[in-house]
Amino acid sequence: MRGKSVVADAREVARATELIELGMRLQMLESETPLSRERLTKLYKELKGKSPPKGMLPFSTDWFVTWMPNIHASLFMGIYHHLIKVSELDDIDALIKTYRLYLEQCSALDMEVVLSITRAWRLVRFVDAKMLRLAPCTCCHGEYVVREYDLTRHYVCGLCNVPSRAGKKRPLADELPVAA
Amino acid sequence: MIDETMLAEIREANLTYLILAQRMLRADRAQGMFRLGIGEEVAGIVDALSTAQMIKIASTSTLMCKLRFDDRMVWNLIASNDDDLSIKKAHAAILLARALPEAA
Repeated sequence: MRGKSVVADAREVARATELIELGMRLQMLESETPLSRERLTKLYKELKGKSPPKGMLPFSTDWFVTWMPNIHASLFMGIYHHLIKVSELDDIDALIKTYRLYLEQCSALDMEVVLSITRAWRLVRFVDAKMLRLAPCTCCHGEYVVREYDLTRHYVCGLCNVPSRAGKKRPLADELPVAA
Repeated sequence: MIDETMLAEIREANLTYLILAQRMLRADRAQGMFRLGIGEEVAGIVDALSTAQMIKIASTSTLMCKLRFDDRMVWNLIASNDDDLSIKKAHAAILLARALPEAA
């Protein structure tokens, strides 16, 4: 950013602000914006009133294929692909817009927000890296997130064929703060 | 032949729809396109319409908006009144998000 336009810098700060407000972790901000780590930390403290959380980001692809997260991940990717196809957004803008639409869907459907923005960002990255992909369900023809090497010729999604103990676990409350 | 009141209702629905569509596109082009299920080209046309043009378009006897999905599965999911309704609706939402506009 050194010696570059002030307007562009302001835009980056505004974008970082938006991402922090949506709950994005510092490690991801560093890779998504050209702002320095010090500035991002300062921005984070100013917005959230506390230091950014430390520790590793969630990194498992398996999480996305478990029942409830899969529904959310598939919904998110469906919206994301739609936005990417119909418009010429940057990846990060598409992520922000998709995430807002996803949050809106959750509140409209009266569902708990399972996918944090950190997870959503990982999801997009995993798909880019071909570690996860979308496969059509042979029953409802919707597209669902699966692992790269899953066999999908006769794939039936978790919504057409609900597993017997699906959604019967304890609430996800203890999982969310870690991901947020 | 349909009666006058129904024609008036069509015009009203058209105008409301067009105004809403334009407002959505102007507020946020990409999200508006997603919600409306339209492509870049149509979005550009609707966005550029003047008020006078909208009134003119709205006053035809054809309804400007059409039913979004021709898939029985989606209808069943949305219309079902089950216990786990939110899961059914989530299923429908996944199917709907996938539906791309024909123009795109």
